[in-house]
Amino acid sequence: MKGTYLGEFEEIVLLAVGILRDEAYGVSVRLEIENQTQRNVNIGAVHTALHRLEDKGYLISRFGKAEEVRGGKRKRLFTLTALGVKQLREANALRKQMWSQLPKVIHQI
Amino acid sequence: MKHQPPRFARQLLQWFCHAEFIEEVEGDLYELFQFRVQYYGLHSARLGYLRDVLNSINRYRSRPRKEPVKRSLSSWDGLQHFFKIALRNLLRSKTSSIVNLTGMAVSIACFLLISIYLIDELTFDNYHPDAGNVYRIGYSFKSFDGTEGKDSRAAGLWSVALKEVMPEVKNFTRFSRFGYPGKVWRGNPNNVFVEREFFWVDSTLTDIFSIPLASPGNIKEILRNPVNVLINQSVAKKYFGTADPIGQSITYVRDGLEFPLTVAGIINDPPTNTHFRPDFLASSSALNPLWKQNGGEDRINSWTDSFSYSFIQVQSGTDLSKVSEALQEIFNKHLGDRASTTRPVLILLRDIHFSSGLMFELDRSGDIIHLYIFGSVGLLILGMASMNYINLATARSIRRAKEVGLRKTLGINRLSLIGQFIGESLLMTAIAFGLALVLFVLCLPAFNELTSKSFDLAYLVTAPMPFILSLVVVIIGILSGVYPAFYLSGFKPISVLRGTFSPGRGQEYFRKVLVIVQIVITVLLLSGTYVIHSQLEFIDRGKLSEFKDQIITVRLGNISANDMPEFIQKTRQDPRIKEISFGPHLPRLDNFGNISRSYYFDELGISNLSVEQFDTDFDFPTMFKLEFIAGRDFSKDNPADTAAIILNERAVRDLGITPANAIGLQAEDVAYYEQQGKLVPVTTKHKVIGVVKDFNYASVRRNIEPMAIQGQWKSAEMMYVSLIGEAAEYADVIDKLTSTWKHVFPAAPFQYWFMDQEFGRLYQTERQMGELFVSLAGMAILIACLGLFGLASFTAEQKTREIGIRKVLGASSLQMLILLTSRYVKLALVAFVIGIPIAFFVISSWMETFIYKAETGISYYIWSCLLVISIIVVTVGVESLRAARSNPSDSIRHE
Repeated sequence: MKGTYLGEFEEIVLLAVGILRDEAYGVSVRLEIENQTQRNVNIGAVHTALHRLEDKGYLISRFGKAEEVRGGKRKRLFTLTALGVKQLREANALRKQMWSQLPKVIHQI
Repeated sequence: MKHQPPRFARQLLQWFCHAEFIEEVEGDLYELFQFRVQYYGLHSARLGYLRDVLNSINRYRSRPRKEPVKRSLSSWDGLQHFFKIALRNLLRSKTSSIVNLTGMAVSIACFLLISIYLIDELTFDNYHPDAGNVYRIGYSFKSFDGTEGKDSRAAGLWSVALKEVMPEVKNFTRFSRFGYPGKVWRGNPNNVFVEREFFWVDSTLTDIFSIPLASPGNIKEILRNPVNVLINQSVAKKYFGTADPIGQSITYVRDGLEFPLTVAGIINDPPTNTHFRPDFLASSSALNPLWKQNGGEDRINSWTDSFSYSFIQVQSGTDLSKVSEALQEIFNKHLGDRASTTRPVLILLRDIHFSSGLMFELDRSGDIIHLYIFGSVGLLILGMASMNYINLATARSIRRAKEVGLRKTLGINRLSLIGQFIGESLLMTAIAFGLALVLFVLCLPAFNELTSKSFDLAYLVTAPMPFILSLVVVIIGILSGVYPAFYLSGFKPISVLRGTFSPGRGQEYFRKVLVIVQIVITVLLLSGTYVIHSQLEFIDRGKLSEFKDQIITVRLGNISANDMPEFIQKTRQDPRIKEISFGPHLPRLDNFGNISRSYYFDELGISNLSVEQFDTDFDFPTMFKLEFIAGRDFSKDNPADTAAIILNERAVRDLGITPANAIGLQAEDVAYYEQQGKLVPVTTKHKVIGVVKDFNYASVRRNIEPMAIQGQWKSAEMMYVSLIGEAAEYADVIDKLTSTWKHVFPAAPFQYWFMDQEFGRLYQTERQMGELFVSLAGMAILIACLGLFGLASFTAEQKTREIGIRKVLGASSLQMLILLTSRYVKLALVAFVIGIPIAFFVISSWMETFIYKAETGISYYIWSCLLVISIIVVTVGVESLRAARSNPSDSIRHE
């Protein structure tokens, strides 16, 4: 089914939301990814990914409070859904399963 | 104060980013911006912000994520709901619904009638196969005085020769009304019918003309046999009743020769839109015995005897000038001296109906200007009905405001509201269309009478009518609906539901403009009606038509003049016969032959004055009450008067002398007679004895030419008999006249008509157009009145409370009436200022087509305006009066 596939960036965003728990929103997710991966992340890309993941049902969002630091705008806070967690698990399991089948040689490199 | 991100970038973001995401995205970007200001400085922060905005330009975010949940009803329920609401609204405001429906129905019915008429006129002779490539050969010539004339006919051999020299000419055919009008009898030789549409044709007729046969057989075969005749269905009924006409015999009489003909086929009655409407078709070759009886020649196969209507069918794309050249070549070769002044005139079959200025046309020609007039009146009427709808719909908008507010609150978007309102007007138009069809059926017989056409209901379903009809319904529905729809759907739910809503001034101005436009149209049509009416009156008041219903015209034909005294003497014994006179065929129709002569006035040194010469007896001036302005009338005591002439004013003016000086002048009349194929001049000397006032002896569309009345009736065409007494006795007088005629001239048919019939034919177009215009204008005025009535009743209803309070405070009913009607009177005054110049311009250009016209002073417009004002006061007043007279306690309490 189209849409269940999880891209690499999407997986990272999903993981970051999980890590940030109740404080996951555009800016914090971007910061978390930058810190973890040491790569420059574009806020537009983060938004796109977050919304797409919400469309797929892996995330759910709610509005937070308006804050002055945000020019009086509210945050959209994201939380993992059960489906999102399941999807992460499956991705992880798949990865583990495939790792276990790699020839020993690779481990030695 | 905190630094702000670049305004432009923020606007860009707001512009493309969908509302669903804007808050989140803007907030995030703002946060990042402040963070960057702190760590990297303002400049990079601004750059960063711009970059982030540009990175956020993403189609994904410029659309909502999910389609909003559909809360609309299923389409069937929606439709049901729509109809229910629409019908409730129709029923709730009965007055305006009735006004709208009546107006629309009447206007659509008028439009239907006008459009079938226009289509019929515009498709004249279009139904013949390849009608676009068929041309009629006629010719133009110069008469002795240098004036040019055009004849719609040709000599028989021209088309034959043309086909030989030009391969592009595929077919040709010729037909004539030789011996017009034909005399036909069946069974009893004394029972002669005069047949105007008796055609002698070639067997190639159906190569070009579509003439469907209602009986078995083949027209071409039938026409090859000279004893055969084809008749149409009405003629078959007239001659044979219900009996089978095939194989029956009829006899055509001409110059004492009898042609027994056998009916060999029945053709369909011609449609209304053709100029060629044969009642009888017989082969031209049947006339050979007549032509050759005294060693004459076959007149149809002649180079010079131009009496046949000749049609050629050319290959499409043929250069017409080449055809003309070829014809000119033929003229040069065969016409001798005449060739230099004779030019071919080719007219497309389809254009014959609208071509004018040709002599001997088969049918009176149509007038394209009238078609424009009717087309525009039809559209104006539709427009008026449409304006009524718009006016009433916007005026009543306050009633629907709550509905709109509620719908909007429940999440209906503007587009579907617009759809709803346009849908309502479409529904209204559709209902009106149904009513219009009923009206159409009811009016059709009267309309056919008025236009002398024979439309039936089948016209509605023949292309392109169904297409036009549906288009009209849709366009009218949308045009009427669109402004109210946009206006109504634009209400702000909050002000409407809070109750602070008041309709804006804008739509009120718009309504005023529409009312003004309607009044302008009304003024235009009213003054038009008035002018047309007075022009028709003017025509009726012409000199010749003064006693037109008391004067019988009898065609003399070729009776023996020597026997005439006996007839006159016998006839005069009847006291009901007032006068008998002889003269030319009056009034002169355009398709009559020329009666011009060329006069020489040696004493004045004037040669070549072209004069219309009336050959009359001495009683002619008395009978028609011609007014003498100089000299005297013919006198019986003065036998020399047979060589005398009486001129008209115009002739005297052209001679450049005063009427008194004209008396006693000598004039020489040079007439050309054909002798052995050559024109030989014959000179006659006249003495001028009198001058009469100009009078219209032909259509008032034509100039009065110089005219001379000659007291020599030997070549007069007609006998005029004026009657006295009651019209009821005329039939008896005519019976007597007929029997006397039969007794004195047993061989000649007694053909007569009242002069007003001839005038009827002369002004048939004007009269029909006038009557049609008057009825249409009446309809338009009715629709305008309906609209004003609806509007006034609504205003009165709106002002119930105001009126109540004013009355309590002591205002009288009359003051209320003035209050309510004055606004419409004001609008009417504005409309007059705009309308009168337009009406003046339009009417003057129509009147240009008449040479002698009724006086059209400013009084016409003043009368029209007064009439409009009184119509307004009456329509608005009736409704206002009711409101003004109502008991204030009722109207105030109802709140």
